[in-house]
Amino acid sequence: MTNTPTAAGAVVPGLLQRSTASSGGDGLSGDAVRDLRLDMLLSALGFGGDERSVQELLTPLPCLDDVTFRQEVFRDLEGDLVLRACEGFTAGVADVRRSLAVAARRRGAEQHWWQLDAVRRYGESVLALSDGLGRAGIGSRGLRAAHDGLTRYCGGTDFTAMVAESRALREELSTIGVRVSVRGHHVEIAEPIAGPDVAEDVAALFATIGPIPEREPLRDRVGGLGEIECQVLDLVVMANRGSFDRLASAARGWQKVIDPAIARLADDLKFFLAYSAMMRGLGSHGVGFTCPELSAGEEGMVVRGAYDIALCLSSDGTGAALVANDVTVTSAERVVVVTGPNQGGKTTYARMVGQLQHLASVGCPVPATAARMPLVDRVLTHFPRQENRRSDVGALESELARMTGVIDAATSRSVVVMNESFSSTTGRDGRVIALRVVERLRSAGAMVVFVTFLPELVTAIDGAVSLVATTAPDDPSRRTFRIERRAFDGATHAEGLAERFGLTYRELAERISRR
Amino acid sequence: MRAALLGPPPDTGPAPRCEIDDAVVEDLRIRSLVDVLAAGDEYVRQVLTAALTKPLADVSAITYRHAVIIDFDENPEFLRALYDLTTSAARIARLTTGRAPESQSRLRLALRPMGELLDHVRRLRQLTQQYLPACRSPGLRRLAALLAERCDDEFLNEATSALRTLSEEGGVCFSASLGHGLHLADITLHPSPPARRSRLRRGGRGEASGFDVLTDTDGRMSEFAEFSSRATGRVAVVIASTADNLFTFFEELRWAAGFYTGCVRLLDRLRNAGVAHCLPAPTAGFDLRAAALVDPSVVLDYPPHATVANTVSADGTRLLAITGSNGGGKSTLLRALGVAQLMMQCGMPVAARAFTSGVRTGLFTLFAREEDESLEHGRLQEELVRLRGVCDRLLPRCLVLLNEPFTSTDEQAATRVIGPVLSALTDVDVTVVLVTHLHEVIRERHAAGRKGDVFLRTGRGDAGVPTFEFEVGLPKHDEPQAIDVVRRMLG
Repeated sequence: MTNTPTAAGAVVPGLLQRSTASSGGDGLSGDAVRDLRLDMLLSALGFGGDERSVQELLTPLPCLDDVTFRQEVFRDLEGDLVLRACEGFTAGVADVRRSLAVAARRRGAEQHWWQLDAVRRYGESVLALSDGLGRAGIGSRGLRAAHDGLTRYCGGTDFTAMVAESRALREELSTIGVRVSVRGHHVEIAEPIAGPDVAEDVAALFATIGPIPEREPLRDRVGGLGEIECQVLDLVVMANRGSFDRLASAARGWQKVIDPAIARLADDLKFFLAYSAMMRGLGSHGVGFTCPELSAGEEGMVVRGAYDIALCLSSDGTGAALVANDVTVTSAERVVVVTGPNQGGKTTYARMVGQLQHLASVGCPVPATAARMPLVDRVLTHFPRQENRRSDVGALESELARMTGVIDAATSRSVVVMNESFSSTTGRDGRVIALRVVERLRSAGAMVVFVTFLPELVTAIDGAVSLVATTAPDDPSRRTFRIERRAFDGATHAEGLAERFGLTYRELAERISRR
Repeated sequence: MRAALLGPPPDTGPAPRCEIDDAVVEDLRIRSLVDVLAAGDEYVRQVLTAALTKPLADVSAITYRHAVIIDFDENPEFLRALYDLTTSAARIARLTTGRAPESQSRLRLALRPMGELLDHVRRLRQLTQQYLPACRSPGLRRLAALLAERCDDEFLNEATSALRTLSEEGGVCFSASLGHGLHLADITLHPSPPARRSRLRRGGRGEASGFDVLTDTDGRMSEFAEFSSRATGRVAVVIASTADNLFTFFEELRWAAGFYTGCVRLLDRLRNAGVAHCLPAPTAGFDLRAAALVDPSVVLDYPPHATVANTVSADGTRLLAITGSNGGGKSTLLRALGVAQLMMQCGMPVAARAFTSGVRTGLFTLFAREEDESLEHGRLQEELVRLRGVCDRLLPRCLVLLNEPFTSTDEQAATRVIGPVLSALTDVDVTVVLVTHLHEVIRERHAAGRKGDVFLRTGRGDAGVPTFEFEVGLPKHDEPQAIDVVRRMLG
């Protein structure tokens, strides 16, 4: 458990439990993030410079308990009350940080005021979260422990004293007023008086002529105090020495406003809140999420109604409807080969399998109606690179080098997604290399999802599952984007090949007749 | 403060509207009449044009205007002075919206027009007081009372003095609390203290201290200006909205004065031309009767046309059908009726000795257009489309004027179409005035024997010369037009 003892000795634990310092694997490599298009997810989550959240999203968890721990928190955040309490809290902590940053840029009474503002907001936010979690129904171990810790923290003498002092000072400052007289270039200040309000008197006088608009609600002025305001403030401070001295002395004691454990709680929550917000956004476009059931591996992978999350994020919800797909692979079936025509959804499917496995492994809900799969230790990818466009020895060598890296890293709990690997190499060589690679991965025990134009691999690999990107039965040129377990269909495959090389009837006829 | 000269102030909700077709202005040739009544004043022309496109649908609103017309007709100098005064008010420079120049604060800009506005208010009050004994209309009496009550000398003096105090360069004095970030907040403007006294006061609270502001740079100058004007922000808004309220008040009055100028001029011109005129009698029923009715744009045209006044009696009528030979004055009568109805519903005088008519919920015209030469679908279809357009907007108690519908088209088809249309309209209490050559339609309708149908035909004197008067009756024998003309020319 990652806990940080607070000043009062109360313990407010974090929410991103990770049982051992080093898990089975390191996080997804940069290449893998791009291949699986999880960079789109990262950008949609808006973690920005928050390295910790990024790392947590990219590094698989070491054990099932860690996964369930996180899933429980996600489930709690489906509740409206919990969600609002947590969102309010993170917003409040962000406000506190902003006020502290402003305070650092000011001096004297101004600085102390901003520190007071930070302390006040801090007290409010922590109390509000503690109260909010208390009233809402929370079931997760994470939030329950956090709530217990918060309750003890809020009851501690340090915290209560800080809150009381900040309230008293705020009250005291609110009673301070000033009367300013400006004549020519001379500014004088004096004690405020309950004098006549000229604006109201004039409004009352002219009310008989016609309607006067209501006073506009006051908006907080932004930016620091100008020179003149500073000078006025200095005089006000002098005239109210006692109050400002008390403020200054209190501010000296508030050097560290945010307790580190509270800060960590706020940062952990940002992870969950960002992901939840993303899920709600996609939910309004009809994409539902579910917490997958993870096993130690004895059962296979069964997923219903799943989507490529990057595709969901990039579609604006108004265009063509997205097509959901299923995954059904038993624990004995370790190699899956996906074939079919161009643009039929093969790569999307393979990507989706990789995404599902990875997101499940970091304890996040996945875009599907139901999901069950083993806990993987890492997802490895082998996708084409720019250099692969030319087929020459140099390109093949670099492809092989990358593949070697993948093979070395693969374990029996890994998933490897290969997308058209070795397809630019001439036919027979490509086949041979691909077969060898798949055999090596299989003996390491990893699950392999292989998208390819080499359908012979299906028959050549023992026990390989054949998935085909289907086309409409009445119109072979229309892709359905459904991927199904099916024997390789030579005809469809041939059409895809022909299209890929511009050898369809129509294109040839057009091209030739133009000459 | 509402001027309320064109109608009683609305107590509950908007006044009932009379629907009107854009074609009405064209077909009834309103524009030339408006030009005559405007007599070169562009503003009056605008006002009359707008007023004639927004007829009233309320008897009391119409009679309200009549009363004012009578007062102004008897006191034209009052109207003239009112129009001039409100026009002068419209010319007072308004404060410009947008960024105030650095040297001017918003308060100073807001104050600028106030002096002249208040002066105009005083002069307006005095003017209405001067003519009050001569006025009997609720509109003008109400205006005078409003000004006497709200803008008496006490108020004007207080207002002037308040404005003077605000515009003095005596500096500002305000109270404030400490707000967000220790900015000054909750600013309350106080009256400036009297001239400087000794800064050090004896004893206790009231210890004052101050400093001088440097304005050696542009930045410092604008910061100082902004600081001082923060105190006066609210009061500047108050003054600016008061100025707006006064401008609006004078604009409404000017509009009304422009309208009545047109009405009074109409009476003058008709009087000078020796044409019978009256303030018509609006009713809530289906009345329609006129004595010595003419189309005012015809009689006021230059050079003046000789014209025959007509008498129509069609109370309770749903269909008034007018038939007869060409050049017999049918269209003129139709227009005269239309113009009279429209002007009545705008509260204006009418060129007749008497005109009594029900207030209609809508006024529509369908006149044959000569310029519709190049039609894609053929004239019949075009006309049907237009007719449908009008019917889509009809309500019970509307008035529709049809001038020679479906001429030069297939007469048989037209007959078959228009019969049922007429029945439908009249059955839902739409009043139709129809000028037509489709005698079959007329005869069928007459045979049906409905109550509320009136059939007029052009009168013919000896030797077949048209009299331009109308008599009740069905169209005479079906002589083709040509023979008519031949007979007339060759005797």
